Amino acid sequence: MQDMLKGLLLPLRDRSAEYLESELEIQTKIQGVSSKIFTNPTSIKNSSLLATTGSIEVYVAMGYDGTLFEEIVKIFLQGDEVEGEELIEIKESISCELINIIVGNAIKNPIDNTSLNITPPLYIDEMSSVFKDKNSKILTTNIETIYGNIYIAITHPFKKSF
Amino acid sequence: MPRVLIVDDSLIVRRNMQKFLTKLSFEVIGEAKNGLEAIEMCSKHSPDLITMDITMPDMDGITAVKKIREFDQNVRIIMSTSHGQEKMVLDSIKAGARGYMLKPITEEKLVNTLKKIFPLHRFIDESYYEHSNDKPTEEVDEKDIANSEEEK
Repeated sequence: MQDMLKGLLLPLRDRSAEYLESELEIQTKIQGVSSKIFTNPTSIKNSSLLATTGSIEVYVAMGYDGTLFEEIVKIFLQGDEVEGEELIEIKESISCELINIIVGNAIKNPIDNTSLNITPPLYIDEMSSVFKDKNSKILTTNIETIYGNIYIAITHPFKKSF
Repeated sequence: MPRVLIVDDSLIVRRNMQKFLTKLSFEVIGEAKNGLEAIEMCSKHSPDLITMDITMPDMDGITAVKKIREFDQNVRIIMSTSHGQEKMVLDSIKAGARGYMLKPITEEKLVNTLKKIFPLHRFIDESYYEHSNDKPTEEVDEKDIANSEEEK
């Protein structure tokens, strides 16, 4: 089980780093993959979640430290100034779009290499809202950048799609 | 000026796509957040081009393309998606799409795709070509543009 999750998480980590560097021009330092739960998941904001469907069903969540996320938002806005409610909506859509691009481009069944489909992403603000179950098997990794960390978490397969 | 409908559940994608398309002399006539809205807007406004996301809530892009083709054979549809899998490309083309762009969408990717679909369109913003090797080599007559529109 853990090997399968790792087989899903590693390409996501690598694709995230590649995306940050090549598309957003943000330098990264890849960290190892661990099987422990985040020590303080409530602190991980700007998060979004999607599920894979098909031969493997898992949740994938990604979140960002504040300064890094603000930098990414600035890049997406291409110099436009946006405020208030519109900015909140745009930030949510950027968080969702990031996970959509990264997971959509990267994820395959590590056993037979077949493609997996993904659900539309949901903005969840804090990762803790997903990882309430203390018994959940969760693999996590983070990638350091000069602006802060990006966090990726993947949970064990579940029976129902959401 | 070709009239475009942008279909994507992401606000930031719709926003940036609108910016790129307007800069490239396309008229954005509307935006839709899912396949159902896309079908309704397409039947109401008869756009020349649709940029269509695949993974969307309520109705996905491939299903929407199939349904649009039931009443509109002419509209040109480009899929824009994060899925790089061959099956998705094949399913999109079978459903009736004319092109495919892998996200993240950049202005350069968009121009390269649109040039294949609107070969005679005048991409007015010349600043795009300043740093590109893909420069236009000849002037296009307005009559050619009109003919291209009639060909659809």
